[in-house]
Amino acid sequence: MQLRRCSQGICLVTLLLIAGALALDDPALLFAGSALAVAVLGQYLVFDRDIREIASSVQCRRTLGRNMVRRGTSLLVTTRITLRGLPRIHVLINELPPSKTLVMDGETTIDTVPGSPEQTYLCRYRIVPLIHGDLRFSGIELTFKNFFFSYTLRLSRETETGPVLSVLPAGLFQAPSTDSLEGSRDNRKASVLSTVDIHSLREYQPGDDLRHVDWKISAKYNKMYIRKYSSPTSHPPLLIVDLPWCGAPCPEKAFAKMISEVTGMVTDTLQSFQHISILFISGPNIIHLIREEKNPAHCLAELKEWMHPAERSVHFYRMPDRNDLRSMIRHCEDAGSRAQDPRVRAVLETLKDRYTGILYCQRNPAFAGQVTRTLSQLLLTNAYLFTLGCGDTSHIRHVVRPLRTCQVQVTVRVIEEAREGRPARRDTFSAVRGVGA
Amino acid sequence: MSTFPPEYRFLILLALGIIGITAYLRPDTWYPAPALLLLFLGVYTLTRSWPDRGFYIVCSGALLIAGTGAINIWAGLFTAWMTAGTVCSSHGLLREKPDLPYFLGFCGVTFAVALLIEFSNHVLLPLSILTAGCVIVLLVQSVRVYQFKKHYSGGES
Repeated sequence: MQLRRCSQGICLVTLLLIAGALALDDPALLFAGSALAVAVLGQYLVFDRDIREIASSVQCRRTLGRNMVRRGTSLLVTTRITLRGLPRIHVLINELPPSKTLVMDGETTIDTVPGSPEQTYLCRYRIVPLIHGDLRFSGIELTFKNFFFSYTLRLSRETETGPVLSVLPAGLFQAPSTDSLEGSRDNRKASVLSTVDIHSLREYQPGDDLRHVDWKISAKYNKMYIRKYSSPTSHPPLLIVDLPWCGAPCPEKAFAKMISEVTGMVTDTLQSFQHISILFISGPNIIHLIREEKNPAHCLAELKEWMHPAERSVHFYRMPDRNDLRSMIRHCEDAGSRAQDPRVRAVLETLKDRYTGILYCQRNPAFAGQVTRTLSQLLLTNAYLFTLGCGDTSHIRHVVRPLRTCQVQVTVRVIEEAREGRPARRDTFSAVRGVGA
Repeated sequence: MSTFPPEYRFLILLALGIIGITAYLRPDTWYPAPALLLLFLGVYTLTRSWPDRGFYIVCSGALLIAGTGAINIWAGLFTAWMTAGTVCSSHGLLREKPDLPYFLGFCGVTFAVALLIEFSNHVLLPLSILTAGCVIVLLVQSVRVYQFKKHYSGGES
């Protein structure tokens, strides 16, 4: 129960009157102060009785667009809340979506009409689950207000927190569907006759060029098989966009610059390679993957949809990479074996113990696995990572390392607002090596 | 259709009562109560469109109660009832019949407080009794509020 401004002032006056009565031994002041105290206490009891009456009349019924959704897809939620209003009590209803979800559109706050008889209020909005698993709604929150008091009551019984929303993992990390669905077999052998590779074989279909029939295989299986060819080509670069966290302010100019740079690069790449893959991450969270998109308009529409500060369900804070820790331990061991001074050796030994301790305690984050699985589907030779470099940047190491392991050349572009007398920094991987460690 | 605001009946009674009490009791310094009445009426008129009007009326009303209470505790009690009536009427707290028992309850409790103060020689004893009463009410209320919150948060009360 909170006192509003008016009743705070009245309580202060009451205290002053009673203090004055005590100091001056004046019964008139005591009576005035007591009358005010009785009035405030009486109003409090009346307010308490009213909110109990309203709360007992609340009925909540929530329906979901679908009972099962994939992580990252939007879901329509409709909540019907019935309550009986009382005169002079203003009730605000606040619908509480499950934690780790993002409210996309719609209203979650309803302003009720004081004094109305039993009335049903409708609340309709869309949410996007950020994690998978069974999610319960947090309930509803009622804020009661009158002239003197305000009170917030959270209703989180089973009736207010149901139904359970089942969120399935997103299909981002599954391998893309291949030609194997058509009954073909992969046979990536290089042709010695031309620069063209045989990519796979499939059954003959009317209209196929007979020059592409593999007679040897056809004779073997007594069926016509057609060769599918692929010519050697260079792969387009992968663009990785590290979006800033929406919970913290980000440099708007730098972010606008990042958007224009990414858009320009996407346009150029589409012109050169005809398709492009873009991975959106926000800290150690994979937000979205655009896989081998060929349509420039669609690609730009997706960029417009996803290029904004994103919610982060996981945060890193100076999370060192395990490989870096191992190399630091090796470095300490080497330096310790070469050191002559016993004090230097002791320091290096302590450092090594610290690094070993961290290495034992720290598991590989789920983000690293997700990145590896996502990147394993893509054929690429180089990648560009765009980041603002604000906040913790240790997740960049977890993106860059698997790429480097696959012999992918990575360029990290840290976009900063240009300052006077100092050009904007253009960093590469080597420049951010020490960021995460 | 009557355009007579409901609080006017309390205001008129208050004005008549204070003038009558001052004339009847003839205190040595007669002017504080009428002066505070004028202040109360002035605040009531001036703050019609102000936010938190209740606070200003209650403050000027408390001064008026203290002023009339200095003449006679029963005069103070009468002023307290009339002031409370004015504040409640102006804020719509005495609009319907079910609101009347609460106002009568306030009158009854303040009457008991006035009796307590009248029969005490000093401030300390009635103040201690009133403080103890308030503390007990608040303690009971805090337990009730805890059970109320627990019930609605899904726990057993």
